[in-house]
Amino acid sequence: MRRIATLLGLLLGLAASGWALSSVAAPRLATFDFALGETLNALGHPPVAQAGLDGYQHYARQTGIFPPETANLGGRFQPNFEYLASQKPDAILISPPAHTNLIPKLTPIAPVETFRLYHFAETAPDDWLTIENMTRALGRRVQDPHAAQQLIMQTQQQMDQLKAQVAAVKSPLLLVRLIDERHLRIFGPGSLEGMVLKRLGLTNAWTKPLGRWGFVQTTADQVFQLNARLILLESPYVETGLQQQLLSQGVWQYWASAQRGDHRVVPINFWSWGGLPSAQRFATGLVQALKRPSKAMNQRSEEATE
Amino acid sequence: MSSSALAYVRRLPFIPVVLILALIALFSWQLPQQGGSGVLWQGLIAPGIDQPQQLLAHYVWWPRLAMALLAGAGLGIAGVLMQQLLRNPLASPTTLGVSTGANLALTMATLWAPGLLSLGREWVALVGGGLAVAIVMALSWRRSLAPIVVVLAGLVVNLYLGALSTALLLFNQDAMSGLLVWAAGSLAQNGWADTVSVSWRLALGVLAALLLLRPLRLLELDDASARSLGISVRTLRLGGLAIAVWITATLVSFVGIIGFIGLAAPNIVRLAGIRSLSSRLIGSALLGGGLLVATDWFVQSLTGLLPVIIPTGAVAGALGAPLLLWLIPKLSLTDSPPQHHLSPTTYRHPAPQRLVLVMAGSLLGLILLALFCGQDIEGWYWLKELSLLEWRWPRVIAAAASGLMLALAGTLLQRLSGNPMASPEVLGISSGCAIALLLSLFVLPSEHSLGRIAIGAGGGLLTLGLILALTRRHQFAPERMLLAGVAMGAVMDALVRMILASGDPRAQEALAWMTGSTYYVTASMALGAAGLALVMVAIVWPLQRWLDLLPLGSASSRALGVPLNQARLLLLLVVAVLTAGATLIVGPLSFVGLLAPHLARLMGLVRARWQLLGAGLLGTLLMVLADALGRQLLFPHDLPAGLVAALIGGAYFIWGLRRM
Repeated sequence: MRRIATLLGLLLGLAASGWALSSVAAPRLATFDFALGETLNALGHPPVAQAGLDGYQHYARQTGIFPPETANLGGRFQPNFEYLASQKPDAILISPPAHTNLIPKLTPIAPVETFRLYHFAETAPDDWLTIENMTRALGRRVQDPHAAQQLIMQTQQQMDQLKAQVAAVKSPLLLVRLIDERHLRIFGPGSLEGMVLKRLGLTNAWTKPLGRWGFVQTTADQVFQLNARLILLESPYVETGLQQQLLSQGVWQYWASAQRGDHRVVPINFWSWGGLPSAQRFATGLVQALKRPSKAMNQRSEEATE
Repeated sequence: MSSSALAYVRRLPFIPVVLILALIALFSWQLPQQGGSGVLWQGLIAPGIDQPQQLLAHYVWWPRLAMALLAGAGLGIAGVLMQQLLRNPLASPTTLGVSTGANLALTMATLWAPGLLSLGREWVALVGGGLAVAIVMALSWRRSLAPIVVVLAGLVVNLYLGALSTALLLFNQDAMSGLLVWAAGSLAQNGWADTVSVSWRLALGVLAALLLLRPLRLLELDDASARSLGISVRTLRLGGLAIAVWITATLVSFVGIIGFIGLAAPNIVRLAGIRSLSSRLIGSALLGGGLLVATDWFVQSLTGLLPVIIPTGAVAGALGAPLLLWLIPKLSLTDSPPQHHLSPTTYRHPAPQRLVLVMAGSLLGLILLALFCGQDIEGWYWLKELSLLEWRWPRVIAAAASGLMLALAGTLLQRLSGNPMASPEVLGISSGCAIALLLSLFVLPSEHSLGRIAIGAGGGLLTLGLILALTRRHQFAPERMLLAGVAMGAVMDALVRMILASGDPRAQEALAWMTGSTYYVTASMALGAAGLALVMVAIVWPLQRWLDLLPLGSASSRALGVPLNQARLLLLLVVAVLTAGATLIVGPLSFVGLLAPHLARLMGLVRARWQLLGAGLLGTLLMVLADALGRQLLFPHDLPAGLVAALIGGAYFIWGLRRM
């Protein structure tokens, strides 16, 4: 946690210095997407208006990262037009396919600029590159390319360090959120989780098809026989410890990973379709979790497998 | 003996035979997927810890089968009980609102009082389901629980509770993603704990039902005869319903809403010629279990093809609706004599012109308020910036136009059927539009508003055509038309629950539209809606004579020279277009089409001319008010107009229904 704080401090410092260098007043940008919003914020040029502010901040456990001046436009999918117009933005940034149906109503307020971020098709461009390009484009947009370059380089450095720390992890990982004792959600390519896994040189155990948004909802029988180490993602909406408690129910207690005790819980403190700041947070949380020593649920079976 | 056996066979529908064949086919598809009979058997009795397939059989496959059997059987029994108690072939856990009530109670508890859930989810569900039934009973009490009134009240309560759940969902979507999978009726299991809990709770219910078996049998007589045999009909009804609600609430709290089994199984058993109560209970339990297992195995064979959980309960609802439609012509409903609610003895306002003028004046004032008054980050204001009008007028106009269209459609339907509870919402025309639009949202790659209007109107017309075709043999009897509405409503509900449970972010768009937000309305859409509304007014206005005569009943209207069939057809076509136009903007949930004509009549606007005017103005008023409140109340958040209208109007309607 402290590391994240210093990191953010560093980032903000860098960004601020970059901002000081640029002479022209930065454009007033409004955005409905959290990847764009948190990236702008990390560049030191927070958006003047952000849709879905409360929901995003709560889900990503980043309450208060935006300055109080940032206008909260209301619902993520239904930003308040009147309020948005009163903020007199120079441009409105969205990430298709979300919000594209609003474009006709938005153009009278300000030009709409689109950033296509996470793709789910196999042939799609690399997510990491897309996010870096978005960061660069936003840097140019706020006339502070230097801050963008700093953020990208700093993220790359951090990823390389983290990657080195988990170089020994060979087993495929299954990124799971247990919804209740009967259902689960699995993350893969097309989501931030999948992207970070790939960047850290880790293998995703899920190779079957995913939905358009990089996750799949399924039941125990579909995943039980996968050979994988479980990474349980804990939602900010449920009490801590629920993932571990659910894992002890029914067939899940016999899951090979639970038996070995090499499963790990990672609290969600990032936006699942976020930008580099979210990627840093998830990567840090994941690597910390992977480095934690095993607490076997069943000591004997762990000895047997080792 | 042989002749009666023959008659029995002739009356036996093919459903049980088809069901058994389907079960065999589905099982033979399941068997290799689960690793063969050896694995399943070993998994059942003694799974090896290191044998994943046996573990899956033990902890997933077998409990799921057991749960499907239990749930199907339980719902079948609850259905028979309700049908027997109310002497109503259409009573069932879903039609009486028990499932929806239980679901809403659990949702509210999850959000606001998670502590209650640790006391036992089924208790929370029991309270919710019990309250829903109590409302339905209270609403239909004065009509001595007439079957169609009960079903109608159930439909309205279902719509209302559904709207409440949706409102909660709109503001808590991230927090509720888990709840959505459960609510959609997934039968997936993980271990035997749930199955065991459900079994003994069901056993308690069945035991209680068996104790009531003898008095229940006497309910086949009418109330007076039953009373003369020394039975307190009221106590019996109350006790019996409590048992049925207990069974349903237990099932809802463990596996969510399972559509239609509780309605279909008892009716099929009855159609098969099984008469005695105990045989019907056993038959319905078996059939219900079989139907649900078949549905669930069908769903399981699809799992893995799609990256979503396919909820069996919602699928059962969607598959069960055609079954209900198929049953409608076969049910021996005693078509009740026409209700002359619109009889001349009703209170008539002495000066309808003045009343209508007052309404028009208030509407004008409200529109000005809606346009110029509002809330922003600094608080409430009046006339701040004229540029705001640019955002507001399309929404106000669209809300007004759809309120007007719904009110007209409702007035036409109520006069047509002589039934004050008829409305586009209740007849399923709104649901038909909604189904078509929801499907288009997911099937078509991108949407255009014009294409959407066509799709929505197509869905509405198709529904209407279906209703007409199904009720033709019964001279479009309103009772049967309302049943089709129940079926369409169930399909829509199932579809929505499936979409929401998928976790697909497009569900948000579907949800926004379902709840009837004017948020997406553009200037051209608003003008289009207004134009359509005016054209329809021009078409309806000259038909006043028909509308005055039709409520007198078919014989009288024909005698007075109304070309009955043509008149009905034309009016129903107008209703379809009106409904599609309005549904596209404010969604299928608002009660304006039900409420506005009803209110107008209560105010003494009895003749067609005045009721049309009054209802039109009231509908417009209500929708503009709902839209303005929705836009401003929770600034910067937006509450959909359709939802606000449903919450205001539905509450009033349920309250007002007591006196009918």
